Amino acid sequence: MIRKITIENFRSIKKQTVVLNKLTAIIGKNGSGKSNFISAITLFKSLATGGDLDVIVNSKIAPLTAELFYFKDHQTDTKFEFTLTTREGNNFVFSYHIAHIKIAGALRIGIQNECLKKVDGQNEVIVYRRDRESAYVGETQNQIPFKIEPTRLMLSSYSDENVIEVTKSILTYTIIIDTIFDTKDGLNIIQSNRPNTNTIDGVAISLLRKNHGRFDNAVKSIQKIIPGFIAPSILTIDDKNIKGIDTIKPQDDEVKNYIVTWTDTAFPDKYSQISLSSGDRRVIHIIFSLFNTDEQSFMVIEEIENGMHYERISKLIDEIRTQATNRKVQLLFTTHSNEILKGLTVPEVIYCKKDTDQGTTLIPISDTIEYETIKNDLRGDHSVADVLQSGLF
Amino acid sequence: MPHIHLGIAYEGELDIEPVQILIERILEPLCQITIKRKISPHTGIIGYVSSYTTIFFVQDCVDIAIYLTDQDESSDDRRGQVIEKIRKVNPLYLDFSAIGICDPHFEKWLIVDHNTAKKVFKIENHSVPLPHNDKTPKYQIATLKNVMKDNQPSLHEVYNSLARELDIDFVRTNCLDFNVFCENLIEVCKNCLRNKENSKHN
Repeated sequence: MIRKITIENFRSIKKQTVVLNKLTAIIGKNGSGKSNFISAITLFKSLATGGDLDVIVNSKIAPLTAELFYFKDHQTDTKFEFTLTTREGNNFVFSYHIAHIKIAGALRIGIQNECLKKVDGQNEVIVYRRDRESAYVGETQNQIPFKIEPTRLMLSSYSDENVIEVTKSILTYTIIIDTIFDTKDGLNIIQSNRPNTNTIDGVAISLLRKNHGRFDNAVKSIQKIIPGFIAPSILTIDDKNIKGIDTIKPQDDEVKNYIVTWTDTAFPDKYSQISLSSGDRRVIHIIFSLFNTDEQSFMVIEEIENGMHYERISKLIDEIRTQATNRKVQLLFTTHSNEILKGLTVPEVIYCKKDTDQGTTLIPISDTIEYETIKNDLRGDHSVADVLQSGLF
Repeated sequence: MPHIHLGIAYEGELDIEPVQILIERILEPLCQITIKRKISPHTGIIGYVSSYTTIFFVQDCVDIAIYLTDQDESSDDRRGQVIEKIRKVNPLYLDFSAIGICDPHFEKWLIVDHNTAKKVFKIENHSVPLPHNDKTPKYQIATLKNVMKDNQPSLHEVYNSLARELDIDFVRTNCLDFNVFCENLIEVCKNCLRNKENSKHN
């Protein structure tokens, strides 16, 4: 479990630490910086698992410009830092020195160097460091080639137990921003070795290949939210023969092609994911991802309620809380929904706001003076929705 | 021109800008204002008045707190309830608190001056009385806006225009609860300015 995340120098975030519960929700007005916090986690996860800065940023966040980082007053470089504090209280600081550097002869924004430090009080131990020319690993500082050793592999080669713990935390992030389509004409053929889990087709195949029982449980879980939901049909296309779901074997190493079709309860025909409503797609994506992610992993969801009717939202929060607890998955999400907030307790909520001096601040709602004051006017077992009813946030 | 800091508790998302405009206009001869905090609950303010009072005076250190609530055709003594809740926090704060009880709603203050309303709603024949029905002032404003033919403004713009253009003296004369609020606000403002002046000399 991740206890704390600290982000430094990313968009509106100068430096903020967020203490995480098993379930943590970030609330706040439009433009307060909630999405920036989620984007920083997305960026960090991608960087720490070996992605290239420009590819990650341009494809997942926004065009890569100096505005993406908290460049202070005409500085030409900055340091994007991401600190993970584990349950045992170990601090792992991932530090990325972002600067205008020459890449292929042109001046662009890139990573000048990066390092991972383990910080224990005043003691700092460099776990690894790499810069644009070379990379070094461990205390012996053996030089290894830059290109073929992304962070993930470096961390894996470092056998310290704590590093294994933090590596696991990073690798098991699941981030749901919005369901995407990776097809232009409806049905999509998906290769088993790289299903895109940002699509509901991809996550369904990934889950089915992991465990049929979990797939069935995910379907039952969705049925609690969408009554009458019918499990997707997943077919294996193998040398022009189409085979049924029973032939899909978990952890099969052989690369296969699949197609996924979905059924709308109102119509007998099968459709591609494109024909599902966005509210249905969102529920399916979230629940399948929750079952697809490993136990003890960390799941991040932006605007969890997107596209959903309010009656469905309260069922969704109840179900994801239950299943996240059962599967020991830690959840972090942003929301604007009153229905979601009715299902949350005050300690689970982080209040995000932006002011001119400090940029974005994220503070547990229970630590605010406003809450300290207002709680006397509220009933004992109030929800966050009751707190927000006061208009003070 | 002296300057004072205000906290305002009000009801209804559309209200804050016209409320601010009206307060500025009422206090214009006395001082300039800066609003340090404005709070609108998703329900009536009565249940939260004591918390708001603490936030305004202890956390934000405002000079004056303003509480505006609708009477909603209820027979409750809303003014008495607000006063009691402020008194419970600290009776001294009452000298620096202005209370407006809009009967039945804040929108009535905006529509009492029919001549201004006709101008805002572009009702050209001024001899014709303002269309009236049995509905609330809130409903009446929305209806008048919806029948405007060309270049219809948003409700938000309508509220602001009414607040900017209404004849304050006329509304004070013809709307008792508005006049009570104005007198209360001016008195509280004078208290505050006197206090500031005294503390300067001390």
